[in-house]
Amino acid sequence: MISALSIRIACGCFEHIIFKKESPAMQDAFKRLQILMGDTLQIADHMKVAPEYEQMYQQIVNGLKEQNEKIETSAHHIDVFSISKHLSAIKNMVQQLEGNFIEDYKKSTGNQIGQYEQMSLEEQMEQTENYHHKMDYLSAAKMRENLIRMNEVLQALSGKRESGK
Amino acid sequence: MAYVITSPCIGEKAAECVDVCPVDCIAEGPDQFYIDPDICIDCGACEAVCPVEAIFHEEEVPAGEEKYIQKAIEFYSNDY
Repeated sequence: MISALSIRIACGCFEHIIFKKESPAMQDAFKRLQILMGDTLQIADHMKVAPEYEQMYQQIVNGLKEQNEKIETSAHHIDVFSISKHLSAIKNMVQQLEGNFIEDYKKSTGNQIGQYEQMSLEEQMEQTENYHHKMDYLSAAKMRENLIRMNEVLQALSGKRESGK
Repeated sequence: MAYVITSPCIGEKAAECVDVCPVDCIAEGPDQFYIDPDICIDCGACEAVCPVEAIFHEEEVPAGEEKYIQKAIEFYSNDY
């Protein structure tokens, strides 16, 4: 049985679910979470975003680093609800960026993304602006996927707790 | 979804894929190169440059080569 404490905080309708970090199942889950956070940060590190997106990009990167640090520095207990809430907010920002990137990609290819992607890699890379937009869009899409996975890891933890597994 | 490196890489290890990956998600293992499925952004650049046609999208891995999907997951979960 996974040991977890559920503490209702008298600050509204939110239930803060605090997990003990020591149990092996928790350790595995948090390790997976940290791997996904590190991988997502690696993708972000390779992006060269346009100045108009810089602020949001920095918020995403800083948000991920903060959540990662929370897990790393919590000696005994971790507030899964709080982390999940922050990750959802980060995912929404990534989704917004992804939307901007796909629009930029469409514009730069003259609404011919399919045609552009039919070209050889060399030809695609020669069209530097298009290639840059493509990489930004794919990077944001992958970051969003990873953030969904992170919340799935957290949800699985809550599920285990509720079913007493 | 991600790209996967399959058996033709074993013994070949040409490494062209490493240079072209825009997110640095390909690492050298003892027998072959591996793509990290949590970082791969599905751009397909690695597939285009592989001289031995060892790289496939996860959904298009040829029959008999499916074990390389799991092999890559295990490679990265063991922190090589």
